[in-house]
Amino acid sequence: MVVVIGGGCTGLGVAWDLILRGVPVTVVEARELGSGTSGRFHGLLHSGGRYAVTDPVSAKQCRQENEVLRRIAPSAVESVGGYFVSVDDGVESYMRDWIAGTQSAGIPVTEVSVETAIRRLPGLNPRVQRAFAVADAVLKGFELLDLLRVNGERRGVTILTETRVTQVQTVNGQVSGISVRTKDGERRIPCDAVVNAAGPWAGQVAQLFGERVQMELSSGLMLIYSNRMVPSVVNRLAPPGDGDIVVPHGRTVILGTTEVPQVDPEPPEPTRESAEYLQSLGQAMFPEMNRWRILRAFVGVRPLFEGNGVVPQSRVSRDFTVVDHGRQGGLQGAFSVMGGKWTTFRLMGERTADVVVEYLHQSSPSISAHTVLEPDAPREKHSASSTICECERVSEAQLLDQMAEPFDNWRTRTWFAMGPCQGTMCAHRAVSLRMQYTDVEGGLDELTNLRRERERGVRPVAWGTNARELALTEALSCQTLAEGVAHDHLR
Amino acid sequence: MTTCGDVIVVGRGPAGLLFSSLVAQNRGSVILVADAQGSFPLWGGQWDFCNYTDDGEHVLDPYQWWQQHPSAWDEVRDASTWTLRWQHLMTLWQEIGIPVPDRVPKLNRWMVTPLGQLRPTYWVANWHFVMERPGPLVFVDVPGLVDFRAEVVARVYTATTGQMAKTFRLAVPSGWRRDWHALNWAWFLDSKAGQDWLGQALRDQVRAGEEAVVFPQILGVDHCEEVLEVAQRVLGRPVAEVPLPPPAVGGIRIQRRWEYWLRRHGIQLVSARVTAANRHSVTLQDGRALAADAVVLATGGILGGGLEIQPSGSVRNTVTGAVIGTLGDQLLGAVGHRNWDESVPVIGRMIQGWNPDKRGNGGAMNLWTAHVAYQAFIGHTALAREN
Ligand SMILES: Cc1cc2nc3c(=O)[nH]c(=O)nc-3n(C[C@H](O)[C@H](O)[C@H](O)COP(=O)(O)OP(=O)(O)OC[C@H]3O[C@@H](n4cnc5c(N)ncnc54)[C@H](O)[C@@H]3O)c2cc1C
Ligand SMILES: Cc1cc2nc3c(=O)[nH]c(=O)nc-3n(C[C@H](O)[C@H](O)[C@H](O)COP(=O)(O)OP(=O)(O)OC[C@H]3O[C@@H](n4cnc5c(N)ncnc54)[C@H](O)[C@@H]3O)c2cc1C
Repeated sequence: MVVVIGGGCTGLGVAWDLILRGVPVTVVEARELGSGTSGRFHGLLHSGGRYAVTDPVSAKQCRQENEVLRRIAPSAVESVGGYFVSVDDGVESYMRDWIAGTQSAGIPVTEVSVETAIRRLPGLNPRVQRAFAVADAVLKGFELLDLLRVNGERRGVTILTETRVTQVQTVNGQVSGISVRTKDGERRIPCDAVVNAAGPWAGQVAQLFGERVQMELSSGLMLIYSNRMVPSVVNRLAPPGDGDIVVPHGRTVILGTTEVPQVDPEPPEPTRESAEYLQSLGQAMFPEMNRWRILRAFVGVRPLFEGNGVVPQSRVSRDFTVVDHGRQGGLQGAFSVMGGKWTTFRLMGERTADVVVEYLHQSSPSISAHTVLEPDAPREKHSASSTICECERVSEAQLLDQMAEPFDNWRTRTWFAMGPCQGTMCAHRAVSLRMQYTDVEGGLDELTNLRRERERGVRPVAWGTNARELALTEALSCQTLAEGVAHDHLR
Repeated sequence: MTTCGDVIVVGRGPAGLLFSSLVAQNRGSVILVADAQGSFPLWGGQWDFCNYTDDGEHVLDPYQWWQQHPSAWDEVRDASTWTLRWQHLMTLWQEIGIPVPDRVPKLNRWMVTPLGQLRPTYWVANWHFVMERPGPLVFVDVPGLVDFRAEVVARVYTATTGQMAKTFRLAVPSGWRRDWHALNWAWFLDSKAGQDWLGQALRDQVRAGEEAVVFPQILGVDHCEEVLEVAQRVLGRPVAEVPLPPPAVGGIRIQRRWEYWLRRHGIQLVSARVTAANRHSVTLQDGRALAADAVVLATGGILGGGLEIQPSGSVRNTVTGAVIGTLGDQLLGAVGHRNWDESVPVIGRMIQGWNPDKRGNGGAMNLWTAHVAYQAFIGHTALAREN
């Protein structure tokens, strides 16, 4: 049996590829699925266009995987299309390189007239000089994680959440098992191989193998605007930089991103300065962006990999790296997969599984590129049910359906408190529904945590209407609901 | 009685309504301009005095608390001035037709939140449930009302107070729909048919006992006294309400009655956004200009729309355009002008240093600042007249 450490897209991708080859797998995730970078990304299924000049290998991979994912996970991909628009002077030579780059990577590009671009992309900078349509799409991260979970479990993958790997056991220099910690204590899980797919935490997990892996982490800020102001993905046609992509997502659009080096795998708090900076960059493409109704800011950490310390065994591209530690003279049966992107998670899974099955002396080939991820049978709709979250139209029945989930999953699966009011009007409703089925104390703590979590993303972008909304949240939670007030002396 | 001059008040929240009433009671003339309703429909209309200390402990005697705590407002310590002002509010509300007791309370009392927790409050209308100390209660569950689950309220109430709490579930009238919120219920109960239905529905629930029966705040808008009377008569015990999140029926009741009273006193209500002002005139968004002896901004801080935050964090007065500082890490409801007597005087949430969210002193803030600005205004008009 193979243990995969990390329940992000990479870990689930490895597990999916392995189980399709008949290798038993257990995924061990310290928190919840998607609670790392995979739940905090920009949502772009790359056409490859962004990397056409700077990273041709990755450009080609993105182009291929873009097609694969549309085929195997259509319900998690929204084919909105994308545009590269040039709004800057002096990028002619880059534009020439870009067109050549897309051609050699086989990325289909169609130039559209400036008038067409302005018509299709309301609010686009009228100074746009040229515009090109590409096959960018929206990748619904949480849905795809859920597809991977459902399909994996259906075929026999074991997924352990809220379970942290704390040690790797060895016998004669070979992996023989892992120790995990859960809220019920420590236990051992025997296994034949371990895959480190811990994203930004990969450096920490590698230490459990006795390896030193130098990660090059960087954080990226994204801003969510509360209306779908743009129908397609829009990229600024210039050398890749900050604040140059807008992605429509559900009823919102997301502007991103930045690149700030950091050491800690935990994302830093978003700040007002960086939010204002990012928005000012977005205004190069959409000058009125500062008048769009902003919703919140969030930060993800890129799990990029330097390569010092170990020699990569299969350096498939600049973007991701699979290391067979045993082959490097380290622990036999220990593997790490680092770097990459959401768009290429399946390919990363395939390449990692290739080395793992070889180690296990098996020879079954990967079939993940041709195996469709079937969505769960739709749940039966409860006919009559009150609406709890008006912004996202989440009903009491939907919330009851997912009630067994831990609190944060409950939110990301149903999407309550994620809309324009950010839970101002529904957080206490959802919590009191939950309290009807759980203990009273726990529920009030969840409410406090939820408010704190929402505020963290709203506060840095508390300006204009969004600031009024936050002021209303504060008045409601402090005055009307008197949340977080101690009552010990009353008894 | 002095007669004061003309004033333009911007803002229809509690601060603007109170200031306008003070002027109207003294035969001054008021033009009340606002672009929206203000905060009353967002909350139950209870006026807090001071609920929490710096450390978040409950305050039981707000008079004593103010006496012991220096503030930017010198006379604010004086208990007898406070008493006079609360008494003025009491007689004003009685005149308006908002039912309140004949005496102002000496201490804070407890109210129940929609999640069943307790918090202090000071000045409330008679329909609002308050108690001096926790006792056994009955909570009423209203079908479809997602803001108030009586079963959860009762469990939290018992867990926090150790007191017994029972519940019963109200039936639904014909024509009821699952998406009815508090206001739908309240408009229905305002009608004769609604009251008859309620009497019938409660008759099935009559049981022996003395505990007060606590409803979520749905018992009528304009006729809530009659609705309460029906409930009390049938149940044979005290009945009162817990205010809910918006749309908050209690605040709506108060605002409707108050504005009706102001109109009857000759006050003109203008619905418009103000885009510029100085001490004697305002400019409306459509270009009209209004002039008077004085202008007062009761524009409600960030929440009310009187202050605006820029992406950089700078805070701007939406009427005068003045930039008053940069947002730090304070609660947004605590952001405001340092002084009330700015280039154009400000009252209510436009002033910093109170902090209704953290301290629970929103009512005191409105009461005090409206009186201070009013005193200055009559002083000013008297002076102008002498010259
Ligand atoms: C700002 C930003 C924007 C991006 N935008 C895009 C985009 O638009 N399109 C795109 O294709 N890609 C994008 N990416 C890249 C993509 O999101 C990441 O490459 C991808 O999500 C990484 O997934 P992962 O599974 O490797 O890591 P993660 O999702 O971080 O998963 C690692 C998991 O390991 C768990 N873990 C850590 N330690 C342990 C332990 N000891 N035991 C058990 N579990 C452990 C963590 O809890 C975590 O859940 C973006 C990245 C960033 C930062
Ligand atoms: C959810 C909530 C719960 C509350 N709970 C309590 C409580 O429990 N106890 C308590 O004592 N108080 C409570 N309050 C009241 C709060 O503490 C403040 O006292 C109150 O909101 C301040 O009122 P205000 O009159 O200063 O401003 P608001 O009521 O906000 O009124 C502002 C007015 O100014 C107008 N305006 C603003 N800018 C312009 C412009 N440029 N042109 C024209 N008009 C303009 C608006 O349209 C509005 O009419 C609560 C308030 C809220 C929102």
